[in-house]
Amino acid sequence: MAYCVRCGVELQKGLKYCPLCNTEVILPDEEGIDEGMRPFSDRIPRNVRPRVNLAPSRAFVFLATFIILIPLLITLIIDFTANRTITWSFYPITSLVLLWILIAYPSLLKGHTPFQVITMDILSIAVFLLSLDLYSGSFPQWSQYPALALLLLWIYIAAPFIFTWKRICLVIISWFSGTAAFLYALDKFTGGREWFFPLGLPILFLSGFAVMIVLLQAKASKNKPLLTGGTATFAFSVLILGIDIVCNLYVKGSFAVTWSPILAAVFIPASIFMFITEYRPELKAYLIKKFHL
Amino acid sequence: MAESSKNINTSTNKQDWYRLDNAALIYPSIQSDRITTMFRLSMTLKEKVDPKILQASLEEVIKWFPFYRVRLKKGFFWYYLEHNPALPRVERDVRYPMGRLHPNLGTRFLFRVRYWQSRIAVEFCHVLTDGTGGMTFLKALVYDYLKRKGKDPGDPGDIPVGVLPEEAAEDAYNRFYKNPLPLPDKGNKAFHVKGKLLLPGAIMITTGIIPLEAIIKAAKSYNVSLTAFLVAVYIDALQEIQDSLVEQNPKKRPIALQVPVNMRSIYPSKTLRNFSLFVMPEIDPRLGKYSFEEILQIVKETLVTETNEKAISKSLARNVGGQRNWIVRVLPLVFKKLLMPFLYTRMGENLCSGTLSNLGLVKLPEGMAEEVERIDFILGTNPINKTGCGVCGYHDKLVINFAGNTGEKSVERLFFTRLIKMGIPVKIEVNEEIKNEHLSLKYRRDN
Repeated sequence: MAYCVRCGVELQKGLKYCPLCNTEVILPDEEGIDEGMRPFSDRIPRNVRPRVNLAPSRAFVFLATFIILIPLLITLIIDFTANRTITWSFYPITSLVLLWILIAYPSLLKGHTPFQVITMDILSIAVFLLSLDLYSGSFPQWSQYPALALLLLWIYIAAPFIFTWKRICLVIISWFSGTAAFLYALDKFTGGREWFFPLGLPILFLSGFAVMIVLLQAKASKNKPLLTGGTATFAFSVLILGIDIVCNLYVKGSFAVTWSPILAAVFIPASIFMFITEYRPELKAYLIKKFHL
Repeated sequence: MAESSKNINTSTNKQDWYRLDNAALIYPSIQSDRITTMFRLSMTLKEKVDPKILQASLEEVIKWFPFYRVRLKKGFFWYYLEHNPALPRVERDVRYPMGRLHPNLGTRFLFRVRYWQSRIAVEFCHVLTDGTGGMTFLKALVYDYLKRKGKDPGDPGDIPVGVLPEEAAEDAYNRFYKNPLPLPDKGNKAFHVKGKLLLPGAIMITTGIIPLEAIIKAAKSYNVSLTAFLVAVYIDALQEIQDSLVEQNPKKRPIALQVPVNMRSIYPSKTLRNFSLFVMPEIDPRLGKYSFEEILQIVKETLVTETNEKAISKSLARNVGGQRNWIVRVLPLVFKKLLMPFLYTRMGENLCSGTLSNLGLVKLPEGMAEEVERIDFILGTNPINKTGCGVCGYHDKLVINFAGNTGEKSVERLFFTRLIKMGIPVKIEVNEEIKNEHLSLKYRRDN
């Protein structure tokens, strides 16, 4: 039996400090502790989805709903009595509805994930912009660009939520495909100058490939910044060479390199230097000694 | 009950829904991660618990307590309890005790049954019942469990072994309400122990195990009841804390303890839903420092003079009168919900410095008593009164459980060291040692 020398209480087996006064237990009684003797189990963590902390209280939403409802009804009534139909009031009304969704929606979804809230917010902004464009004349005039950009933003945000960072390859593939689709759509909407297949897609593909190589390498060899840095520098050199070639093919129609060798001449030796340093411990130690901060 | 005829579901001829009793009305509106409105009762057996048998027992016993087999629903004016066709599941006792019920209250039960090693614990939301009802349920559950295990728990006595009569589900507050009566005093804002709250959900349990004989002897030497003795020790400990924080007497606040009274001992009711009210022994340190004997005298007198039918009917009249007020009744639930937390703080927690609930000496049938090692009673906490004290006697031990939501244990230390100084041996147990991680954000998500 162990006792606290300060409080005088007898202590449960295995305690190193008195829970009442934090005094160290002089002769901790550790013999014979088994699971059944302990008053409580170890806590097993529960995987709880993070809740939306930004959500305002229900009381606030209740209030906000009424505050938004009043100007909405006023504009509606004025417009309707003057014109016998809805004309200009469409703009303030849709804006107010959007405002309500952005403010109130997270609260109505208490306990739901931020991802669901972001999805709803992005979707409602896109629908709002499209509806404005649709209502103000020939469609589509301008709204397709922000709507597409929002969609792309959603893909960027959604991919890590859906696939999680553990499956980073799938995340990057989704980002890559999303960006490709966005660029293709831009190409089509801007009059079909056909720059996507000869220029956009190859550059995108090269960039995606370079990022993927670096990430996979970084994941495979953790805590080796020199190796990752070397791979990244090398991949960047290859990328700029590729971009140079693709641009020349598109503009001049010939297979040539112009400005990229100058940059490659800087980056490729740097990457080789990093690789060598990583695999030569004595060189690494020497450099650390000479250049330590 | 006049209302009960309306609540009958004609197709099944069973009571389909229940009104919340008077004490329960406030709890659904104030329930949060910090105020979980839960309390916990547990029995430690001599053998390891078999979860499959426990599950079978639970599925049987819950049928005897139809008023606990419910889920909480929102009406337009009030919450109500609706029959829950699902069956509750036992769960491993591997999380903090008395955690908040699932936010999706409308589909879940308002209690949990947990097991760990040789312990069976029930955690009730106060919406359903008070300590007496909870203990009856736990006794019935363990009795049935032991029977299924092939033991002979003996003659059940007052332990339910079949479907309970309708009177067990009555709202006794309403039955014994008298109108009009003078209202009780409004009370003053009491002293509260300060401390940085742990992240929501984390609860630190400090258990003191005391030989029953020794503590009863000590109480008898002062010629007071055990409850009065413990309340006086608690108030004395709080007085010391306030004295160390506030030097000048005029700046001190009254120290009052909420002591729940089991109204079944005052009124002839067999209800197993809430039926308790509080008395509040109080000292006013602005008048000077009280000796332990003076505190004992005040507590003893308060418990005697306030715990009788006449004195307690005043509080009953105030609480039930509020519920019966027409203006309150026609106010939609959304507005009531906004008012409830304010009432809870203003009329409840602000007026007291802590709660000490004594379930008394629990008696079990002979055969059952041979299988049960220990009984624990733990009260929930809230951000104003950061420590709750549950007391329960069984066999030759008195188990005092302090539950706290801060990393500070000064109340517990002063309380138990006072007993030690009186020559009463105390053994201390804790659910876990306080570490720095209790204050990190990660902790909140993992509890």
